[in-house]
Amino acid sequence: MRLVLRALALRALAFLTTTAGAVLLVSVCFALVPGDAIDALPNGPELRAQLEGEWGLVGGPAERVLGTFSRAGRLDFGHSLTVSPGAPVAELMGSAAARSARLLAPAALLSLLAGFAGAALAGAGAELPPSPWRPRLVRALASLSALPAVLAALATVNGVNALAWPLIESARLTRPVWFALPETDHPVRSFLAVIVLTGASGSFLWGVRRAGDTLADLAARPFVGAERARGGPIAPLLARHLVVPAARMGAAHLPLLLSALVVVERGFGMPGAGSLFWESCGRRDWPVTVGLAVVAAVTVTTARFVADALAVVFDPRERAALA
Amino acid sequence: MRFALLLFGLLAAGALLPYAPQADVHPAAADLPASAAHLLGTDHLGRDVLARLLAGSRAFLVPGAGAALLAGLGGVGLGTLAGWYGGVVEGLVRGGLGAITAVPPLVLALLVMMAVGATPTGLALGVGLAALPGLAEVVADRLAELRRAEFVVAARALGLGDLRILAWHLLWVNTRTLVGREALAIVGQALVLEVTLSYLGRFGVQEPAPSWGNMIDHALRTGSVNPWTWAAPAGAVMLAVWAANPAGGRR
Repeated sequence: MRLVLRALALRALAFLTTTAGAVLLVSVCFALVPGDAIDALPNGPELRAQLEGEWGLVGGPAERVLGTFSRAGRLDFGHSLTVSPGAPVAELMGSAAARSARLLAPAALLSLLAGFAGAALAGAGAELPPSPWRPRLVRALASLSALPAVLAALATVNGVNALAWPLIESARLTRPVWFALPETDHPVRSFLAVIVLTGASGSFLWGVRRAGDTLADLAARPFVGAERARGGPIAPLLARHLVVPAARMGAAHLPLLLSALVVVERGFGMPGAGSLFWESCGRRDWPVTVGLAVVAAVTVTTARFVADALAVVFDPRERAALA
Repeated sequence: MRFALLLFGLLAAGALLPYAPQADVHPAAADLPASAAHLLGTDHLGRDVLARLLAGSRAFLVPGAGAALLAGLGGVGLGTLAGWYGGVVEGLVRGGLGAITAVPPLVLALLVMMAVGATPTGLALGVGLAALPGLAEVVADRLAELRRAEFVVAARALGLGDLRILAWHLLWVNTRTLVGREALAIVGQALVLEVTLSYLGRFGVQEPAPSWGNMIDHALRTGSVNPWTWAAPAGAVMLAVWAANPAGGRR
């Protein structure tokens, strides 16, 4: 028990320092940005003194870095300047994040499932009888998934509309509510967005490779060999021992998913944290930009910490390594 | 290899074409289909699509090369420190790299481009910084694996210094292919980011300068009747990404 607590404390320390490092990186980038959003406001000159003081826009880069860092540490992101003037950033981020979570959570889960299914189909873990076509199919799908998310979203939106339009024109289909994606808010749009988020930008390719390595590593462990020698079923055993590697894979994949989220939300015209981030960058709304970047970084480091903590609790090799 | 061939082909063909990708505006020859004079037809302003396609490759090749150089120098340096020394140094370096990778790559690249400007330099710095941790970790893992190898012990026994063992035997002989593959993958990442930014607007290459992303965007927005105006750059992106991905081994 003491060993577990010690390992958890070390992981927590690593989590805190990494989070602080990521927030510092965001603060440094922000401090180096020339100009500010106050010029973009209609009454900018009158508000300059107040907003400069409020957002630490006065002083040299070092002061700005420290100011942003300390505000981020207190989770005080202030108010939006241009995207939604005067609205508290925390509120804006909260509602946007809730909408994005509806895309992100199924996409993260589906990525893991698709990765492991693809790896198992391709023969990793050697559970299925050898086949010449399965690895080829997985390779073809994986190559297809290398398509950038922006093109996948574009192709999906235009493809759906191009397929539906002739049917509507010939009166074989009454204009469905999901037609003219991306303007319509409909489950079809969310479903397509989740699929693009799951598969595009090499997500599937990455998942298959990581899952393949994981399955091969597990299949080579002595307890799997012993079970195999006894003639017992291997699949349930592998599934039980996949929890920790799957959590680690999910945490490692999260930054890539968050990047793709910005593109997919823009491509499908969906409101959410990704869309808000892009909008705030374009309109130089620094409080929102910094707030979302910090929240994204904290989300990633938290996911990593949770995966590490699961490993400490459930994987005896982690504790043995520490001992 | 196929990615290198593709890049060489793009640059060589661009130099041979008789059309200027930006200046040759001929409204009377707008939206022409593919023909012997214009192999991929013309766009809504009568500009040769092939000339713009080839010139558009520079929008990601130059920043991609810069990003690969930045990530290569920084990644090999930090990876060497972590992999060769191990212990506390490795912990510190990996912690720092972990802080960089905690910020999603697109978010980091956008923040860097906002700080430096939406220019090829900004794109190179953004992609380079986002790709640096991946390359550093690859080098660190490789060196950590090799530093206690028998040939290293033998080289020490023969009286070779650490610097020579590290620079020649470990980095040059055993790691350069790995770094080369990663560098190519970084050029592919620059392409993906450039296409994304150009298509989504604001931070990408602006007309009349061509890029594959803004060619697709303009073709779709102007509703060009020549399908090559969007199909050619989209196909080129897919081909380049496909060529870069297996070579790089990572997304």
